[in-house]
Amino acid sequence: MGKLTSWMPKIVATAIGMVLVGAVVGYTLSAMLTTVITDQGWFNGTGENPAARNYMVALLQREADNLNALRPQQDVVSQAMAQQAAQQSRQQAKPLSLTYLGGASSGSFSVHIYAVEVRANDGSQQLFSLALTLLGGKVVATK
Amino acid sequence: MNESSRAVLVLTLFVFGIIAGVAVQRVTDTGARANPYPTLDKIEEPSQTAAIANALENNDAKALAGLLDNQTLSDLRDALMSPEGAPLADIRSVKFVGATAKSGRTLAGYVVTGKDMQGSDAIVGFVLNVENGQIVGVN
Repeated sequence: MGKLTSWMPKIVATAIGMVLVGAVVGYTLSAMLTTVITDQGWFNGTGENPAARNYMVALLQREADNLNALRPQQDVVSQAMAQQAAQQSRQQAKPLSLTYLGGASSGSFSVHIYAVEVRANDGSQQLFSLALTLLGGKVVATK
Repeated sequence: MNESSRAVLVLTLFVFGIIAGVAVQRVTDTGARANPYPTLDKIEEPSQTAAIANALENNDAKALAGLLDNQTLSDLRDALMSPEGAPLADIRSVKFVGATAKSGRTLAGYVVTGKDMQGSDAIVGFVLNVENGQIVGVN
């Protein structure tokens, strides 16, 4: 850092340094607050967690990469299995509706429940539910 | 520049940096995607599922045994596993979060909080499926 900024007047280097440190602190605090607020469902009329919504939309639209981004770090084999499952479900059912039933949180965990209506290949319509458990903006369990 | 004005300048720049950092985070945070699908109407809590929730909250095994068949009880036990895979041993609350219905099938969602067998705080969600006034499944 000393060599890097040696050509600058000391006061300019200090000023840039302070702005950068402040920016990192501000970005980090804001990201942490956003995660806590969304996990707990504060200031949100329905209590729906954006990560849960994004997960459900990605699931119904078979976006394996987006799903992986919303899950905790997985090994490559698990990721390949998720890709296969997404490809197979693409041929099996067409989503008709997605309804957020509700959710609640306790500590750092939150649970969000959805109802999904699909039309199967044989034309029959099915209504089923998915309960997502989230921790730190990631979907750690689905039922 | 004396020491006090230098300190004020440094502090001002630091605060400016914090504001800039928060602004960048807010702009780059994509938030929730729009739901591209229609949503079903919510309905009131069905009385059949309310009875189950009440029995769970009161730890009333006798009432549960009278309300559900053996297979559904087994499914309910599986549904009440904490994220760590331990069954909920001490149920503190059972909260109805919402219900919807389509083509004669009703889904009623609940969130249960309590302690698992290892004594850790736990939260789990489960959904009771109702058809023709009967509970036909647990998810």
